[in-house]
Amino acid sequence: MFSFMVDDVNLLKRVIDSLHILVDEVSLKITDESVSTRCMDLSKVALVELYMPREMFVKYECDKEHIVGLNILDLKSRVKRASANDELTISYNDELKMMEIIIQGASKRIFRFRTLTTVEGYLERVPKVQFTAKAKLLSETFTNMVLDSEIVSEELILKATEKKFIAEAKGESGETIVELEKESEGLLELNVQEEATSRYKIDMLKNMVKGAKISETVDVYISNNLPLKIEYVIPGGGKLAYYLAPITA
Amino acid sequence: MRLEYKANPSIRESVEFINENLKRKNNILILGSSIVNYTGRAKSSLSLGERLIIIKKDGSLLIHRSKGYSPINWQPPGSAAHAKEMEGKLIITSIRMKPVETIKVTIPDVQLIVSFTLQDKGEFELELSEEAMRKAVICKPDLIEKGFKPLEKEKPTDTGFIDLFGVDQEGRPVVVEFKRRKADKTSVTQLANYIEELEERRGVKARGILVSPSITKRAARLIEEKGIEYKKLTPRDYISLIKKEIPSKLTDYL
Repeated sequence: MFSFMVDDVNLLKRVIDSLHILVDEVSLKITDESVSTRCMDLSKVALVELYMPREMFVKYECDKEHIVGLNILDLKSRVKRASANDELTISYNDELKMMEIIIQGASKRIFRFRTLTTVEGYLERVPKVQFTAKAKLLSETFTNMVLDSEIVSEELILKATEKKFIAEAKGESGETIVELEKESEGLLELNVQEEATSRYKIDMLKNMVKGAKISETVDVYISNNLPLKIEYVIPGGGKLAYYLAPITA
Repeated sequence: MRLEYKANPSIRESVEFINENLKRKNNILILGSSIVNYTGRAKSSLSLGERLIIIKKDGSLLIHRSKGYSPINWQPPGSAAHAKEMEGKLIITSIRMKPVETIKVTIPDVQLIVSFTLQDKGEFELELSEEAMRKAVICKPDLIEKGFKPLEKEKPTDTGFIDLFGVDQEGRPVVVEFKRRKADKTSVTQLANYIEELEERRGVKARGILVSPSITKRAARLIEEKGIEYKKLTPRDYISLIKKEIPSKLTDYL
């Protein structure tokens, strides 16, 4: 069995939303060390990776490694019922073979639901990409880069040079260029081993930057014409990362 | 079409039926619950669920779920499939040699197996919309001519909307009319009207370019009479530009 009590209910709600923007079903891996998941969207264009170490939880018990398939809506609808001050515990009831969400507040509420048997397995690996550029930005700045680009196009080009991190979008009605120089307030760090340029679909990226609600900063990793990775740190030592395939000629 | 099927066959019957039809290079369709394991450049497993499995005569294998147009697992043409019984279950193994990739499908119970041949000599003709042609030209204006600069689409006139309005290298106004099929006299007349109206309104000479995959003889003669230009553009010329819009898949990088 496993059981873990969440420290911050609202944070958990945001984490679930961050998964739900890409997938409807997840395989959750629960070990003695952590709760994690790694899954791709149906079109295989994007991947989400979530890692939450046991230290993030108030109480944590796990007897062995478990992989459970969950419908995110099943999880979300129950967790949504909890208020910020409630104690929320997620566990697996071995006898009933059901997931349990226990919300302890003014009353004790127990929600039980079935796990899924047909979810694709926990992805064993993430795309093998040697990232040549990393930019640490304010999450809001990166979100704005994506939303500004969306005004003119369905896709954007991300560029990293020694001194700048740039988003460019060109469309029939014009173009948008968002430039961040090393001194820009929104760009906290820029490490470029090799200049990189890559093109991505904005609709997917737009969903991903919704993870911005989790963290104040975001790490963006790119390489020439390769998938990008954006990573948010979850308070308490966790992380949420997205990968997105590029548009290639 | 030659078609045979077995409803609710036993595992032994299923093995015999599938192997016999694989030998005959027939297409095979299997309905039932399955577990799918893939090993090769990556590794994946798909736990038990009801699915549609297709083995085509060229060795392609497709495993479809109830949603989505693309298969959840697949093998390309040239893969070798084989069926056997193991611990009371039907096992279909499909192996691709280069690179070595294996899909193992475990089917505890088969609902339906169908084998069939398909006679299909139909030709696939690609015909894209005028919007797709215009999008391609906006993306790469050189498709019309070097130096062409698109300025406005669906530009309104008294007689209709100009598909694409722009200027050439010398700054002269250019009216572009797209036709996805063979252009006829009506297409030429329509374009001539737009040019006439534009010239009257602006007081400058404008160029007209009719763009289509082909043109009728009458229309070609009329084009000359009216001093309009013709640019042949086939889907092959611009499909690659539209294809570029499609993102690659993360599975390519695993």
